[in-house]
Amino acid sequence: MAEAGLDMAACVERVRRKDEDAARVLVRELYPLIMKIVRSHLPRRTDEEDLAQMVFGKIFAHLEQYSGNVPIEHWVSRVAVNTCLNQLRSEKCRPELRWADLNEAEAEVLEKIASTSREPDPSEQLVSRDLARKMLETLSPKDRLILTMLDLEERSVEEIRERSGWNASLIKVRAFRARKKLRKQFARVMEQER
Amino acid sequence: MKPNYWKRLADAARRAPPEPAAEMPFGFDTRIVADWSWQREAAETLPWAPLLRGALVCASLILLASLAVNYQTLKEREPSSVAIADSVLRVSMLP
Repeated sequence: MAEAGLDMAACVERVRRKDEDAARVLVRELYPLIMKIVRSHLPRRTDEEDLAQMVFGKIFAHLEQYSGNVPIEHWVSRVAVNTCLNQLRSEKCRPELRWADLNEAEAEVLEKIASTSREPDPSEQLVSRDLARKMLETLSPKDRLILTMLDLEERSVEEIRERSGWNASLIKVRAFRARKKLRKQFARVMEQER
Repeated sequence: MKPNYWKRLADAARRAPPEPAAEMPFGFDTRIVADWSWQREAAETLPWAPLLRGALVCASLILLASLAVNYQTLKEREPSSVAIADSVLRVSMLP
């Protein structure tokens, strides 16, 4: 993740000594990584830039706690994931997806998904992604986070464990239950279509 | 076996082209660093703030605990003091 030639450990050390130029460099280096995480787990009605700013605020406030045993990117990812999770938790309600909420393209994709013979066209992959995110929004924050990382980002259980701090069996059990909930959700939406 | 709709949707979603890399808005790093600097200065101006906050919390807890322990006594104090004052008055007003 770090730009070639930049010594991240030295940069972090300088930030710890309150070097503001080093802090600016660190922000610029970590921005793409943090934005990627923030975009994957962004709650509804939350500005991605505000959330990224919140994550950076936490990183700088707790930089003393970074032991240096793991690459800074791992530690930062964990901070970002936990900040997103807290933000998702602050959403009081999770909408239930209804057929009427889908736009024309999403409805078409869902119909194709439901008919086992046809796959969504390559042109519909972006719509599929939006639809998948809408489906995930109906889940609890933890379930949503786990399925996003497992099924959309194809991360391993081990990677999720590193990023979230949850144990592997909890991740597997939650993923199993979350997929079951999504199956029910699909059935309900398709029922409304008929 | 029921078709796994979620798996099919997730497979299609994964094949979508990646979102364009996020470009940092102008001045974002300056804003973050300014905020960090302000937080540091605030912490340095009031180095005892966390200690004072802790002391305030402890004092409040002690106050609440002592109120809870002495609740019955405090509740009964008023009638008994009135009774004592009344008896003193009566005694002093006796011929």
